[in-house]
Amino acid sequence: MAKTPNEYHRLPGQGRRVEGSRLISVSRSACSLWLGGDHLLLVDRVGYAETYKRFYFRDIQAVTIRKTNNATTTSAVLGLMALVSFVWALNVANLPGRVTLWIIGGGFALITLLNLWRGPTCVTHIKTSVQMEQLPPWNRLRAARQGMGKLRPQLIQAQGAFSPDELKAKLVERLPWLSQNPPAAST
Amino acid sequence: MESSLVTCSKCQAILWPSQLPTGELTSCVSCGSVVMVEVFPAILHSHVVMLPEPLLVENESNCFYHPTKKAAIVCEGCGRFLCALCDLEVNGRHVCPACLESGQKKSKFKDLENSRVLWDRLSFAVAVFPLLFLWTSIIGAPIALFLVWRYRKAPCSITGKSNLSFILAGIFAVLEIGAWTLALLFYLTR
Repeated sequence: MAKTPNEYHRLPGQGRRVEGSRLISVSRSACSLWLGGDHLLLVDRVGYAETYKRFYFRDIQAVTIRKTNNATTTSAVLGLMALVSFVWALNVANLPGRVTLWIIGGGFALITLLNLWRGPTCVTHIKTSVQMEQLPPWNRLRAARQGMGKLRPQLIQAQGAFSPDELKAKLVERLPWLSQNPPAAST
Repeated sequence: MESSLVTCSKCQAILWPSQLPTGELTSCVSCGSVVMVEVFPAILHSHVVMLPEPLLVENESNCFYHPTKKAAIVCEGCGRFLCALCDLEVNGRHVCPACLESGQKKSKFKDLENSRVLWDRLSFAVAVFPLLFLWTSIIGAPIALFLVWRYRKAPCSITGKSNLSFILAGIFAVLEIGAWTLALLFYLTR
């Protein structure tokens, strides 16, 4: 029997859908993004079940990527813990205790380096005319940029190409009040 | 809210057209967040709501579900006449709500499938994880074998992964059952 070609191609990035407050949050599902023939597929995997959300190329109006400070904060906290472990290890007299603290500190340092290597974090949303959905896999700027690099040609192919200026002009033509200056930033 | 507006994902303030450079980081004028927005031509599309046309002549073909509305198309599933309101287009096929519902239940429309249980991975987990406690595999292996047999034809992940997990789960389960049988025979004939 002829093997059917893989319909979906995985896009860079992986993330978890997190629920809860800033202090207490629970990871609900592992998410990944896939590029289909005419749509973008968001897969949420909880245990041994997957749920799917499709965003058709013709319906995608905008993608917003907002840079966050999570990576910086995490790196600072983990780096500090690594430093504390190393300083503590220098002040411990017995060998097993010193080795244990070196291993713990090394672990923190490794995670910090890994976090720094992955680059700045972000929150990505995809907008259609009826929804604004978060894309958890694109939680790093690098992954989001790489993913957009693969998604953009598909969207242009489905919707046609418009230069940003042309698009802005048409948007202002449709909603004339947008031609006014934006309000000043709140302090 | 107007669907043509793009808002900041943090403060929900409108991102003005002057702030929408493609592929560049900019600041939200309201909250100061660093954002990058890419806008596509679909933002200019407006929603056109198709309303069914009323019957003009009494003998004219009418919709099966709305007898007072004019038929616009035939359902490709059951052949019923449908008005513009009842016509649902899926993968280029025009179907009625009833055919759509039954098709969704029977997984006929892959594009409408919004969840799947990964029986292949579950079988593999049931076959392998009980091995960590050794004796629990007496229960785990037959369950895994049952799952492999029961759901051998069930689709795996929609993203097109192979059914290697099913094969491995089956092999593990058979080996575990064989090992336990041998151990039992050895114990009884000792």
